[in-house]
Amino acid sequence: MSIAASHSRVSTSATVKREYDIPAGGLSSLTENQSIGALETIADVEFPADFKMVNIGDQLGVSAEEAVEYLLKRVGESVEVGEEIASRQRGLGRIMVKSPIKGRIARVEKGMVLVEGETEQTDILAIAPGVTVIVEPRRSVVVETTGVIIQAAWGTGKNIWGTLKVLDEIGKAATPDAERFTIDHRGAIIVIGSPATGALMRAAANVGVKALICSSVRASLIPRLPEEVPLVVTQGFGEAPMDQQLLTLLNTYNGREAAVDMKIQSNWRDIRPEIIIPVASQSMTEHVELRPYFEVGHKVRVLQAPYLGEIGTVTALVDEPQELASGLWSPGAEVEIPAVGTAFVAFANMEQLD
Amino acid sequence: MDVDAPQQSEDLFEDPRPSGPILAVDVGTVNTRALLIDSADGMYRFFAWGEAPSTAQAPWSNIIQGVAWAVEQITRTTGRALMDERFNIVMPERTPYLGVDQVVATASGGQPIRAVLIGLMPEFSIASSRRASESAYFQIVDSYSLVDGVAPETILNRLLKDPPDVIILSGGTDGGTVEALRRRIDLVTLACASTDRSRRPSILYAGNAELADEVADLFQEIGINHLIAPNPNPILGVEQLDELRAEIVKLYRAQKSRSTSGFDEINDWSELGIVPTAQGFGQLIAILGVLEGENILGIDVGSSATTVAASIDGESYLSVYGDLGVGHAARSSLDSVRVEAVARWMVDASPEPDDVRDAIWNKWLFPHTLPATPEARDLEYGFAREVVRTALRRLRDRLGQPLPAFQQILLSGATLTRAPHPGIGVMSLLDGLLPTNSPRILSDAYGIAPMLGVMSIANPRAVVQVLDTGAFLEMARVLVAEGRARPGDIVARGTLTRPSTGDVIEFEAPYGTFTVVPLPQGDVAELALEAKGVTFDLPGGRRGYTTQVYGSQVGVVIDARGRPYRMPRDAGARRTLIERWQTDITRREFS
Repeated sequence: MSIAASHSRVSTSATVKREYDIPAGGLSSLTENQSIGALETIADVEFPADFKMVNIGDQLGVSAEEAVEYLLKRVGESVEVGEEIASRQRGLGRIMVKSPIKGRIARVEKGMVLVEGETEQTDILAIAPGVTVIVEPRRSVVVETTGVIIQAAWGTGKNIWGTLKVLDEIGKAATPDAERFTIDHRGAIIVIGSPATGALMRAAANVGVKALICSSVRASLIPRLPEEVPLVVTQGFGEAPMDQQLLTLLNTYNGREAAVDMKIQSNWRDIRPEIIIPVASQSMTEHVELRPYFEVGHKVRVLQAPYLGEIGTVTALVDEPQELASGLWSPGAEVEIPAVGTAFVAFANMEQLD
Repeated sequence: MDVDAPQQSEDLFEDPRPSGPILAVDVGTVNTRALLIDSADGMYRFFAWGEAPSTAQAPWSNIIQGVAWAVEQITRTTGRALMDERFNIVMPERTPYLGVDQVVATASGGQPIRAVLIGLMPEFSIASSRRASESAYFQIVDSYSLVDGVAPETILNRLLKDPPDVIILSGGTDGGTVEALRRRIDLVTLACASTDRSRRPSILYAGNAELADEVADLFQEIGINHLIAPNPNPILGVEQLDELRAEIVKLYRAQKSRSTSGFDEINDWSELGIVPTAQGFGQLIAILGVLEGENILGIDVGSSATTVAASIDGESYLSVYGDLGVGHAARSSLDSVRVEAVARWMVDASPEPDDVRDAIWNKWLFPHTLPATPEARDLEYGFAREVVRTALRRLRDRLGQPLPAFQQILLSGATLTRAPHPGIGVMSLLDGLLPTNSPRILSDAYGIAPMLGVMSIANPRAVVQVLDTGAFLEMARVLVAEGRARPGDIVARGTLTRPSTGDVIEFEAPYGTFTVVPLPQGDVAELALEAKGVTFDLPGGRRGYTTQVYGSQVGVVIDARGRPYRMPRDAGARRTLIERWQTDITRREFS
């Protein structure tokens, strides 16, 4: 059965819908059908920096139920550091309970007072320009962008918006030469067709490269990657070069503004980082409806060695299981891969490209 | 000690429930399986099976699609339609070609439920909560006991800033002191009451029974979603997890219902609701232990978790290791498995540790892929061996003693049961477990063990009958030679007599090798064996051993490699040896 277990997108005429979740304490002032630029504010979010718990019952020497009677502040009221929040006369003296931080009284429960520290503010910014299509001010905003989308294999670091500069071309030796960065690359999203190395990443950080898009990276290098340079790899882990079609595609848009949307990858969700290049003038297609089965003519990406990350086209379906070089048997397809020729690829080892 | 004595008794297997077709479905992280069981000649039989990719994630984001694909394969095989065009199950059976009478369902797929454990003592309340929650694929993101030195305020801040889905609150013995537990309850109450309702965790209270009513009233009053379970440690040194597990399954269903589209629909099909796959697997192993009166080990090496279930001297054990797996959990497995240990199993080359690590990370990126090259295959099975070894080491640590001899071992998970050759799956198990007895190795090739485990709750008779009709494949009968000899010395000679054909096969086993005597599945033969310088855990003794053996995919395997066997330090010699073992057990040359 030729069910496509995995899908991803590499398209030059895509409609990309990006949902921005708004966390608790956040609010968007946008309206639907509103244009928004890259790095413009989607929502403002306020969140408390710290919480302190004050057991006024214990400190006043009374039961949790009685403690409420000695409170000097109500829920929601502001307090300063050291300000009294409860007190009780005891003999000739007075027991005072003071707030350990500046903030507000968030809750009183079972003789305990929860003091919420001052809030910090942050903005949720648009990753790429577009038009809002859904706005739920306290929950989420969906922004639609038209242009090129390339879902990569893996990435790390923050989301980036900047100018795309492609340093390698098909046919030119793509070497991970740390000397290749110049001051012209400062603030740009740099594409190279070879694997990321430690020297390359350090050089990128020294020059002030905004983000690096490479073919692959050694997993052992990940703990040592400089935090200031987000990294996206298109093929996966290891030392594979970039797929020729991808590199050609990125070269087409050399010099254009682009977004790198890292997403949040986890053990449980098949989520990939995306490179989005907004192109307003092209006629765009809606996100292609899901095609659950592989068919002849479909673009696919191979997900296993020896063709990991290569993009090809299905030329024939082979439903009868075939023996792979590993000795396993699997149904699959004949796939035309430009750099390789025609190869049999198990259905499980390729994903459909929209 | 974690004792989950199976609840079935012999008389349950006599249940005269009327027969009718049963559909069993299992929604895994990578694959969804469906199984049709029906009666023929008064016996339940395994009729048909289907498998499709799971569809919990985008772009489908609804698990029913995967179930529909798997069920469609059953329909194609049997001509029986089970679902309508709107993906509703047709129930009860309407005609012999339409519908089923019963559905059982298990699930392990999707994002795990994030849980925080709050208790008093790490070795009692926290340990019990952890064991009970593992079987429902809870991801324990934090645990706090009285002795870990974490200040209450720190706990509060963590709960408020990153609320989990679930808090399991436990501690104390029934009738014991309540002060310390009450302070923990107050802390959790404050944290939950101060959390926005949409993100407020559900709480499962499983502490001192004396506070249960008080806790229920308190949480009710504040509007905290909660469940109350009996204390798993009612008296010191006793652990009773069954009821806590049952409540955890309710929490699991409630959480999954919110986060997984299609979960509710499938849950409604089944009278028992969806049961976590691991619990079904554990249930099945427990039942096998009762039925066979033997020690049984079940090991399911999955993409996102490795489950080990054991029935030892009538007591059942279940452990789910969410950090150990060969796909979605491949990356986290490397926290416990050394890449050098994986690399030593490679036959075709001696890869650099970096190459091994990269390949395992790529498996994490693309967990549903199959090894396509000899190098990828060797790496996959080297990794599987180390995952098995790690999981069994943890079981041994939990038992606090060496693992006992298991007479039967059930393998589950596609990596082990659908290897390029069954011998590779068997060898991976042997290298991971290093048994010293003579176990039967069975394969749950269709991934139906969890479904049968759940089915046994409602219809044990059906399960017994399905097991009798060959639900599992016989993979191998392994006879392990214990003792030392020089490599190449003949340490066993014997005959295998097949009454079905009248054939008498003679064989001898050199030390340091596998010797395989083929015996086709379905056949039964008499084995006679004489040992020299080694012993076998078989009926008999000095004058020789005799036993009856069943036919299997691999055959009778004499593992005369020694225990523990020694691998050459030289990489080339090691590769040659492993390649030879692989060729011995598969009886074919792998490139």
